[in-house]
Amino acid sequence: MSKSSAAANGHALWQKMPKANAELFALTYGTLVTELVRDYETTEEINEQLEKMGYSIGVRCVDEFLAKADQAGMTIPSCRAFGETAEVLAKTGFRMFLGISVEVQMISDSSFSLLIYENPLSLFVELPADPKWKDLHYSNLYCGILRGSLEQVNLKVECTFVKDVLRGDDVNEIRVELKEVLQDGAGEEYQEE
Amino acid sequence: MSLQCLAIIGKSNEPLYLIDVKPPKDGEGSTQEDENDVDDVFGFAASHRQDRLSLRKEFMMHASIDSLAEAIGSQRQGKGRSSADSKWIGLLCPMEDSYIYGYVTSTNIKILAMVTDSTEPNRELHLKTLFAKVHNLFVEYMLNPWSALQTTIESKRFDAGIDEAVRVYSETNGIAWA
Repeated sequence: MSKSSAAANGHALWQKMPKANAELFALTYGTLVTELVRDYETTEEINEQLEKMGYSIGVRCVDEFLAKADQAGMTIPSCRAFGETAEVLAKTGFRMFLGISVEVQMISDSSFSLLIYENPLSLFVELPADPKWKDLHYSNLYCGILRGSLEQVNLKVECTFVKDVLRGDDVNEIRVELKEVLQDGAGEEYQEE
Repeated sequence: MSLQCLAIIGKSNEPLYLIDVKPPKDGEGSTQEDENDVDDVFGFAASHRQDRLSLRKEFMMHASIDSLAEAIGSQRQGKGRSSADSKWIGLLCPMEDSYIYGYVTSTNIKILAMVTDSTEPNRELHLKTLFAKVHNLFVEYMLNPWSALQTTIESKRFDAGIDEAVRVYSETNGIAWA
């Protein structure tokens, strides 16, 4: 799937999605994170919880993504290389759900980086100056969403935040690494003899 | 006419943000001293002349809260506070060598500014712009999920915004910086 058609699909799908108020969305996510901060002690646990929540969202989102694309008459063909997956995720997926544009930077055949310039989750957010917050990945939800959705299409990946605007970098960067391509999910009992 | 200090007071009259504005001398960059540690009322922490002056300003601001409360009270009994201009209170009380102006938001957050006397004709207009900017910065600060609600404001972004607003104000008033 060519890059430009991925972007065009993204725009078209974004038009069809119901919209929510950006401030409400950002504030809701903000209270979610502050609640987690109250419940858990270390930033690792908080990051892990955010990732788990993202995972459960991702698992459900991918079906919606493929179904809406089908209904809109677009075909999203199976990706032949991991790079195509990256393009579809960045240009169509993020565009459709969040309305933001995301850049892809290929690192190798099995890993790439997504560069997010404007993050709707962290509108108005400023991390407190205390150094222990430096390890908090505020938008770690995204990592979970990516992992969950790719797992449903048989790609097992690991996602981490490499750069974060809230910690002073100029862009948010998520590194996605392919761990393995899973076989179709039926368990052993269902395999044909 | 120079801005001497700025104060943001919460709805139960607790101080949220008090700063002194010092015009720079001898070509230094525009620096400001933050008087954020409100617990240090008696200035025990540092005992040079600067702090005693800041304390004096703090008392003057505090005194003007009374006249502010009076102004709000009478306004409420008057035509009600629905108009956009109802936020701006205006000259609260003239002190020895300076004037204190006030501004109240609909959530009863009060912003006070102390300016030295001058014959600047557009004084009120510039002050209104300054107050509007401070109000915006305050709203942005409040939207951060990590902001504690009724304590002093500690945020680099807020400090930077206030510095910028004060700098713009001073420049439009033709104050010579260094």
